[in-house]
Amino acid sequence: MKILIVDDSLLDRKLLSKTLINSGVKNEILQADNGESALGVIAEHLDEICLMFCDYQMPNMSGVELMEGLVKVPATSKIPIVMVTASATEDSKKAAYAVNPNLAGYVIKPYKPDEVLAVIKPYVQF
Amino acid sequence: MSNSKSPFEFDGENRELYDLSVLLVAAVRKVLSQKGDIHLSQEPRISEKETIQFAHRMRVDGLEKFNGRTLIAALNFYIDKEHMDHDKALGALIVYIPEDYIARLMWLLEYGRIDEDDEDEVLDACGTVTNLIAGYFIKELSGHGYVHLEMGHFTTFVNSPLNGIDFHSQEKVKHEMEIFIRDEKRMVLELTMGHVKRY
Repeated sequence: MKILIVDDSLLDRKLLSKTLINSGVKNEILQADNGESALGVIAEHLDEICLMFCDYQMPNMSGVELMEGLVKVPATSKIPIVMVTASATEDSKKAAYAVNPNLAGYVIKPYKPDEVLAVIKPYVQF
Repeated sequence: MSNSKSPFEFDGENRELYDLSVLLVAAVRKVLSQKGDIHLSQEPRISEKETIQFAHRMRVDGLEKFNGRTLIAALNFYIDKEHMDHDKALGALIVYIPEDYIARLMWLLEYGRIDEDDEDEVLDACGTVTNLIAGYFIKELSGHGYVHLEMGHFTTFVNSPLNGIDFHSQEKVKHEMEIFIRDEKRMVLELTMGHVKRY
């Protein structure tokens, strides 16, 4: 099974990948740098994605808008999504959970590896 | 927020923006110290300057801040999602970082090594730092009784964006903050903002 990281920041994708690998996560990691390309990756690997990290602020299609589209489609609605954001306010968090009450996690940048690990444990292989 | 108790020097007139600038400095301080154990070597002076605009966009020039190639990241704030969708910015944050410091900064912030010869990567680094600062700034605002603001996505440039950057064009002044680390000027921030309501 594979983990998908969607973030327009190359450095944030690298940092999260490194965090996962250094934590012993064995899953293959896929990446997309925006919402549109994420949809392409999801279509290609639909049955293989066990977890998706989604950046909140992205150009053109925000993380919440991407998630909103995914939860409306039965085939993609089951993908566990962890929202990753620099916006640490309760309002942002509420907006994310309003779109997806089953959100697997909400991680605030800059995060510590333990915070990510605590969220992903049920979904990944070590 | 009482000026007499503030550690920041300020000689401008826009007190409302000054209060926001103090919170922005607090956000910078938290990002640097919590993520990288980096501490400011002196209190930033908050300077008020007139915005220079053309075609409702604000002129931005990195070469006025540093001697040498300067990375710039700009990010807008919005009252709500609807304003964001219609590009009606309430404010703008501009962060200037000398290109020859960005790799060191990202290393200190535990992002690992970046390819200093890859312009896309160094610009992305500047945007990533700006995004962190903006996120902490919004949190500082909320913590001090201001309404939640939506933050947009960062855009990045080297030295100067030809077409300026988007901002609230009725705002006539901006506040500038110079960030010193180990006694060297390593970052300059500019903030402009319309009225932000309080709860």
